Amino acid sequence: MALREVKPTRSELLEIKKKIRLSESGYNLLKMKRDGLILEFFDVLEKAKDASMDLANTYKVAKEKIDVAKMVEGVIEVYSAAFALKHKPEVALTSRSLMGVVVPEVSFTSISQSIDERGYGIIGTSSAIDEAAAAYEELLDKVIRAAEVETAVKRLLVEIERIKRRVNALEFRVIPDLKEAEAFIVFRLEEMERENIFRLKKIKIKAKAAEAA
Amino acid sequence: MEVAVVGNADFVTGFLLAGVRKTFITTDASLEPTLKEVLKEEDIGILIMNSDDVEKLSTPLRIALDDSVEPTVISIGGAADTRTHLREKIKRSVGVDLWK
Repeated sequence: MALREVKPTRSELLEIKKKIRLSESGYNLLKMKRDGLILEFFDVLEKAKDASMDLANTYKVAKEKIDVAKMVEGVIEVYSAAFALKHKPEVALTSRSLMGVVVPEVSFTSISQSIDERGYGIIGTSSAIDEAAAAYEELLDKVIRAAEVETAVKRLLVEIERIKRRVNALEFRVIPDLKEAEAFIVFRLEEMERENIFRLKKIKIKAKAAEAA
Repeated sequence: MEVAVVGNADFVTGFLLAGVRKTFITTDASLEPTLKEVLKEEDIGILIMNSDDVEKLSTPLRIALDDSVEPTVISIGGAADTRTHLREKIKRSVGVDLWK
């Protein structure tokens, strides 16, 4: 706030004092919310790290199994088994609130199926394809779970950063500016008071002089 | 919403076996245009990619993928560590590198 825009009046001083009180209580509330979100973030981050590591290991196993299936059956056979599948995985995204931050909740129908549910013939394919399919179903299951926590991490980070920016703006810009304006008005009002007293004294002296004459 | 997979034929095959129907087989040249098209599709909730493919993307697209919530992009496999952007973001937001 530029000081030349500030009107040095009592009503303005009251208005600025009100703004300072409001800014300070907002600052404290936002700081508490930021700390709460960070605590919540620690929790979600641990889950995300575990999910990420689990995902990497499951992918390694699944990759090995699909490579074996390709070697044993050939790529064309694997493709034909894949295209014969009856079910496709579907996910539904709902949301829940985590300290005011909307995070998604992913719900999905179970991806793992038994061999006869998959849709490709049992006789025409080998166990290598079954194992690869089972491994990838497990992987997909974990991917979907990881997606939920990773999205929560991203949303919490965005919110933490937004609140951090607001807290910093209040702490380093808004509140100091308001306090500076308050000090300026107080100084100007005192100055005006002193000028008034001086003026009154002068008038009094002149009036006394006029009375004596 | 559906699950989609973008990557080379080798990466995509396994997910086909798990029942994923939205698969997009790409080469290095067609990766970015395909991804841009996939991101426009509204019925995709989760997008699975290979970490090495994510590393090949231009920085703006990579950041867009990292920040994307719908679809949520999950990168797996590959030698590249695609969590760098997320780690940077954590460091910036919280002040400490918690992804260790």
